[in-house]
Amino acid sequence: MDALSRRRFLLLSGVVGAGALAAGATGVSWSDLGHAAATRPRAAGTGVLVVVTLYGGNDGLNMVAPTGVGAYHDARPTLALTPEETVPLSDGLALNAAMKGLKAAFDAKQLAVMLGVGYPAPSHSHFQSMDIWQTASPTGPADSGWLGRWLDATGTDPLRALALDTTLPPLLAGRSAAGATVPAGPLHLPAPAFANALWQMAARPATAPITAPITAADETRQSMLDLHTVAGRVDAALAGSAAGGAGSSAGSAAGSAAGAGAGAGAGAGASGLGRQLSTVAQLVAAGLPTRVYAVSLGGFDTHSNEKATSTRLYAELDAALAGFRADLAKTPHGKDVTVLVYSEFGRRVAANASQGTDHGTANPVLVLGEGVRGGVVGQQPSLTDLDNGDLKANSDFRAIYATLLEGVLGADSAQVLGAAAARMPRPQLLV
Amino acid sequence: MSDATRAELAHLLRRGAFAPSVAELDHAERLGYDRVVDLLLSTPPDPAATPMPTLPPPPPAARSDRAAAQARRLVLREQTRQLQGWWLDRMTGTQDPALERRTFFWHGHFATSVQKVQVAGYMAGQNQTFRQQGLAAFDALTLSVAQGPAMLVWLDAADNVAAHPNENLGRELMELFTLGVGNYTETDVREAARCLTGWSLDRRSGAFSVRAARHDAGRKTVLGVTGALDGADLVHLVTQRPQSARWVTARIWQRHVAPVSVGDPTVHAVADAAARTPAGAVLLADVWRRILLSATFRDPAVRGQLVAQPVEWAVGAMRQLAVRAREHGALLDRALLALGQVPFAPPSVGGWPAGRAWLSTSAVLARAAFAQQLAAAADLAAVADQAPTSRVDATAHLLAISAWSPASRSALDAVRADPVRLMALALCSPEYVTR
Repeated sequence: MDALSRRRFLLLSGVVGAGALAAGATGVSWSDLGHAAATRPRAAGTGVLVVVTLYGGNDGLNMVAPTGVGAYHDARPTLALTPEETVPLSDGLALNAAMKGLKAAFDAKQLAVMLGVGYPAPSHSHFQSMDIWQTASPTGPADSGWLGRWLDATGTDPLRALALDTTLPPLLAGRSAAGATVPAGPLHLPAPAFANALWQMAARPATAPITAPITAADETRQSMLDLHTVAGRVDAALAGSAAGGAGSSAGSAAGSAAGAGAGAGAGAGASGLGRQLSTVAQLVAAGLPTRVYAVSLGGFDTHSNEKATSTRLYAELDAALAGFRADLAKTPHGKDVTVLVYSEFGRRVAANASQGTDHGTANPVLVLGEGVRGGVVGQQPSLTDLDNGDLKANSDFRAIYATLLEGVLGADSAQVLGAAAARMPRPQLLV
Repeated sequence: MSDATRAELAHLLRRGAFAPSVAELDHAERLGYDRVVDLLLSTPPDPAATPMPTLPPPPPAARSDRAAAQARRLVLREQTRQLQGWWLDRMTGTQDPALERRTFFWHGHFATSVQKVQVAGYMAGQNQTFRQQGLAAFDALTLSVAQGPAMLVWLDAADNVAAHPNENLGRELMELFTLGVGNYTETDVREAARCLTGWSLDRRSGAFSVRAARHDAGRKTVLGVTGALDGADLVHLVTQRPQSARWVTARIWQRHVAPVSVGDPTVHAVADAAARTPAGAVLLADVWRRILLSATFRDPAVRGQLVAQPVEWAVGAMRQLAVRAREHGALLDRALLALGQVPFAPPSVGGWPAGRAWLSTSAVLARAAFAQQLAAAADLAAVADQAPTSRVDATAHLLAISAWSPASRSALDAVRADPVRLMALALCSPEYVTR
């Protein structure tokens, strides 16, 4: 997508700049904003969506393996999972044995495994395909992410969507609004005097004419204002939840193992997924008004020696998600959370000679949470009726997005995804 | 010389090297614009350059022996740390900053991470290739990089066997390094993988070879060219096409001039006019020269359109404040980790993001932390010795900023009594974060 267009029009609205200056003039401090979070918590029962992006192209056939199909073993003589390397899910399908936590969620009917998900005319480029998933625009480049457009439609507070990352993922970049990013783990806020000096520097005089084009300097000011709006509240929420004892068990050991063998493909999380989700659990437990969180795990581009790499990655993913589930079970807000797990594409059905797989197409998508209708959804694509060696997708990812936008965020999916996507039949993913 | 000239030279040095010190800018004023361009592309000998550390081959991988594997990991980690420390110190201390900036550009273009490659010596070799061939013909540079041990490991090209080719290098070679999406087909990717079969690496010595028994010697068709093509033929084929010159020119343009699309007609005109080898590969020195001399680059309207990448921002600040990485490496390492740009560890083969992706809320936090620590570590006499009313202008002079916006000047004026806070705030200013 055109990353340059994000937030291009935010300043045109004039709301943030003028408002920030007015607030600055009256001396609102960072801790005051933290206090505001406590007085305006997210209402119980308001859905929260956690988006887990697996960068690199996750090999869905070795995550949710069609072990009952002979062609699976034929295409992958040594790469196919053996019975010892799987746990059964349903007829002919098995989960990678590294994912015992997800198996428990499946047995508890809190994990939906949607099969054969993709989009028409699939791209085999990491970057193009990830853009398509993050912008929900398979037909051509789009100027905004799908949850960015949800932000556009619902207000101006950057705290509505948080990425636990160093840079903003395109899925949270709207045309007029954008999510914020915070590091996983504790925040190290500058001293109030310096923070307020930064804020003064970023403020646009209320009398200044607001005209296009928005420059990079304008965007810099906006990020400083956004930090001011966000950081105090996040900091207060983290401090409060630490005191309350919620959170913090989510897979931190797995998180620290990240990076040991990250691969080349398309992006990687800024820090371990366990750490990111642990921070999310604390923020959810604290009742932060955030409705969308974005986290990520990289390293799935397994062109060679796939089994060792993917076993490690699935163990990290599983530990992070199981820990997250355990953290959420401790807070009344936990039942509001739905987790979406996806990657930019699956991989070629046949293994290559390096005991790996090349870029493919259709893939399973995981949806996890107390509000999820657990089970296997949709059909496993044929492993013999292939498109030039690749699986043929039988469902469109935008139908999943529409379900989550409506069922979790209470949003108008047509506004975010367009009319064509909004007409797609909804998969039965939520209770 | 007029102020405008100094501002233009500051622009040239910020984009073509790192943010200039007062002395560098004074020197540039004496030389004039065209001679500075010559200097940026001349790679003069630099006796002050931090020498690259010697990185002996690590103990061989021993999967069955846990203690040996652990010992190897410790050696590899220490060598990576040495290599990263070396490069950052060289960037902060060198008298030829254009070479470091260009080398960093190529590192982002042929983005390779030590996290998978593991062997720091391989990464060091690739870094040397960027230094030695970064201004050479694009086909020669690409072939050296592709056959270097770092890339062979990174994109699994050393494991490529005729029976079931591995597509990783063939695809990224065309998509990211030489042509761009839309200039090849999926069939070209599969045929390219066949060309690359047989490539091999001696992991002890790092030596490249072609193993004939693993190579698919049959006929392939790539980009409409048919023959018994091998891997070197493939690299030449894709780098000697006009689309390749346009692609690499656009990639250089995006990091040095303005955030244009790869189809930008001005970029195409520069690429199409640039000198070629007889075989058709573009000469990179001529691409750079044409860019730096172009009317677009010299148009004041392009100033401020780029966002400083974290390495550019932090290294530039350290150079301007005369703080070396070897003395204050820890604060630089922390900042680059928090900002998401650790040398030798790009996030993917696509390299680091550009432009406004760096303007995240977490980045503001990380920049604020670094700026305060750097300002506290630096000798700020050039600012502190001025009367308080002159300090905001003295700060601009030190940082080669031609003008503060009213909001910045007002905020800086409010803290001018404290030179450390003043400098830290200036380093976080929109004027300094953008270029």
